[in-house]
Amino acid sequence: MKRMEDMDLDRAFEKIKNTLPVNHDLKRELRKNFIKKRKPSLWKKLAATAAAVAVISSAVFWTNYDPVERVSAAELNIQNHISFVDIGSSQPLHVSEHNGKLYMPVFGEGIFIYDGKGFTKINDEDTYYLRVSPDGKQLVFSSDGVLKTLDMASGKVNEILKGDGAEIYYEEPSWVDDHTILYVKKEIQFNDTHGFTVKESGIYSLDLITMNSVKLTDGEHPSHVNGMNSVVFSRDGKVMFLNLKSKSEEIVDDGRFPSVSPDGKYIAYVKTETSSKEVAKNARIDEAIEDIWIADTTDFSVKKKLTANYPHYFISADEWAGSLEPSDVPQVLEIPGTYSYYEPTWSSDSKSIYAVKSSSAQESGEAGNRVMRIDLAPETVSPANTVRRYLQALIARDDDYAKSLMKEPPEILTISNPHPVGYRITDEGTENGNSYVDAEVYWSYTANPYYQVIKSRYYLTAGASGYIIDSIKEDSTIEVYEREGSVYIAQRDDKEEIFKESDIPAEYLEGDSLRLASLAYNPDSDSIVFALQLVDSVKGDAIIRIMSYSRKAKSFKLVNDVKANDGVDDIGATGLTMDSDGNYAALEVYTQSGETFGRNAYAFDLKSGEGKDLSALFTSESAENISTNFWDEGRLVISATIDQQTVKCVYDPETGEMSSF
Amino acid sequence: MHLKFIDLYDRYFDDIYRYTYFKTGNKWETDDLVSEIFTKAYENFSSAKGSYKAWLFTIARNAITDHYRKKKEVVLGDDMDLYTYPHPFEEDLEKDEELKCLKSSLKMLSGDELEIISLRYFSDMKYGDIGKVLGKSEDAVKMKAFRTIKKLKTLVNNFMEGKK
Repeated sequence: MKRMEDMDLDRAFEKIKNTLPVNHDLKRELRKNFIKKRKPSLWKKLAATAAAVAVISSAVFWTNYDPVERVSAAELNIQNHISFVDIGSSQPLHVSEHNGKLYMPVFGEGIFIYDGKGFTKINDEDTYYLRVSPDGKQLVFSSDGVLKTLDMASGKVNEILKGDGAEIYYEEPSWVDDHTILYVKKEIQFNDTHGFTVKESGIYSLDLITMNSVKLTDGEHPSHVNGMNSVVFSRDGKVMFLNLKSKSEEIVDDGRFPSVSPDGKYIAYVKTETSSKEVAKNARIDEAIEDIWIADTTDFSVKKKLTANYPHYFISADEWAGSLEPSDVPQVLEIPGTYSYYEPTWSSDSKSIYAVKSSSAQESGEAGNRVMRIDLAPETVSPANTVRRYLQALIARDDDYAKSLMKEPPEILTISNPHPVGYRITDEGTENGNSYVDAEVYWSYTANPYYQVIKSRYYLTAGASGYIIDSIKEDSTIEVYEREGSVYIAQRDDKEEIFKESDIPAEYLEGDSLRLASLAYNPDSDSIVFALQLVDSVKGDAIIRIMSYSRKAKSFKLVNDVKANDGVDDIGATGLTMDSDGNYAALEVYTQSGETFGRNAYAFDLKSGEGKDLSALFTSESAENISTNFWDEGRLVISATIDQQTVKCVYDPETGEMSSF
Repeated sequence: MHLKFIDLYDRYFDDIYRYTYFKTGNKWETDDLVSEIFTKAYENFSSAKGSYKAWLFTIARNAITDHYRKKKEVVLGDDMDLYTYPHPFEEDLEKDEELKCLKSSLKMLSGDELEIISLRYFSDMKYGDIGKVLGKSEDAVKMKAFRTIKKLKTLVNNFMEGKK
């Protein structure tokens, strides 16, 4: 039983608030009474323009025979935004991608690849910063002021530039082509007493064949603009554009960490926007919110903000203002964004941006640092896919993305139990001219036999960059749970007993220890899958027996058993979930081997009963704590801890294959 | 720039609806009352002063009080807030133990205590605005809120320890 100290009253109030309904039909109907009649056509005009623009831009996209035809940064729409690696160690905060393979340094561990086989170490080199070459055959990386290359095929490491480890450092390398790099040379001077001054931060290019080096300008973070003989870099909080032919420099925008797409069209960077408000005499609040932006390389005025960061009020403005003593000295409360973004880099096909985001709202249950990806394309995401992305972001805790898909985003809350374990889109259509999407979200309780299906209708309107969820109306809730030896289904005021534990045929029971540990329900097939915790009557070993029950046929069926095996002393079920079609189940277990506790996960085909140990999908031997996250409709998102990082991958039970995000 | 009534409507409809629902405990009365509240507000919008949210909630609070006064023929001066919270969470099917205890504890609060909790936490109002609605100073509201939260914590604690 939880104690009062653990309880967050604010959060509990928020939960209660969310149980208070809002009649959205009334809201829509009543609203009509308060709209002045003089501007009825404006909205329609806007909608018509938006539709026309949509037709034109899709025509441009599909009839794009001209290879130099450009889609401006403003016309790119976010197709998806997902996080998939939780970084356990604090450094370093960036990644580099080539053809779906993500290269990531883990300081003190080495260089790793994230792909469909999980997270695998390829090298022991200590690395702060790395970039994969355009042909994917080499890595250039830096560590402690030394630049090195790694040949992927042979694994051979070459030292190319070495600082003196005291005053000269070579850092932040990036590729121009397969044999030319850019880098930053830093020269520092130690002060007489303490500290140091950066004497020079120069951007240089280096031909790796001739080893010819040329200084281009002063600054940091160089990134080459393919096809334009130019370099983008940062200097004094500004993103700069240097034309190498004319030697002229222009300011792109305020920002840092610039990175140019391999096709040379866009610059991704991180920009901080500030605003200030007076809350009392001589007291003001400054908000400084950073986001990832993209700008066109040919027209810097064409920009787009890609993330939807929001302020993190660790103290409410009222509370702070109320706590102040009147003073003649101006007092300032600085409020940061909930997220910080680091080092956006492009995928080799220029269609996605990878970055690291760090959450300051750690009490909300989000991991500190996560690797994220944003997919970009000129197409508009459909209403059904918008709701898919929204639910996925909500479950995966990408709150900045989830909020960006809503018109008036509420405070999004972490609820540890019950927690969402899957979703499904069931229908879509239009109502009074507005698009809607119906979806089910499945909720489960850790290590408890409780499952909930909530059906809701999502109303959407078309915005400039895609659809936005206006409102969500909850339609119905089904709960399935076990209480005092019986399994019940409850909907509205109806509660019905489905079966008693004593109804389970004796042939499926063993030993004297019986506990219904977890269950899941599928509304379509009206069937339940459940996990029984048993003890082998001969050996005394723990057994988890997965069974299903069909309400239509009123019959039980054995699916499969998971047993404690060699090296594992004890095993217990912590979670059981079903895919949205009710064809597969996923079981999460805790294991105990001596003093060591771990987690593992299994998937079962409910028709054939065939089971799969999901830890076998990861190639790294250090993969541990395999967990089931949620069902992305028919696919299972699983995670594993590998060398301090928690990586998420997607398992497809139809093919038995795992893939990266 | 001047705020349009429709902006006010879009911004605060959900808060007003939840506030009313929490007070009445049923959808039908809430629908009627919310329609009445916004119609009144629309008619008197030109005379709105100060915080729009406080102004709107004052209309809501008065409309709900009038409604109950008519219905129950209660005497003026009674604890109207108590009459307007007849049975919050009547159908208590709550499975979350924590929430269950909190809901049970809320039932033990007095009407004016519930009013502050409702305005602060379910309607997202600032203490200053709550003061305007209740005709009290901001400091008095803060003090009352502080004491109510303390009381609520003790109640929740008792419930949690009392169970299992």
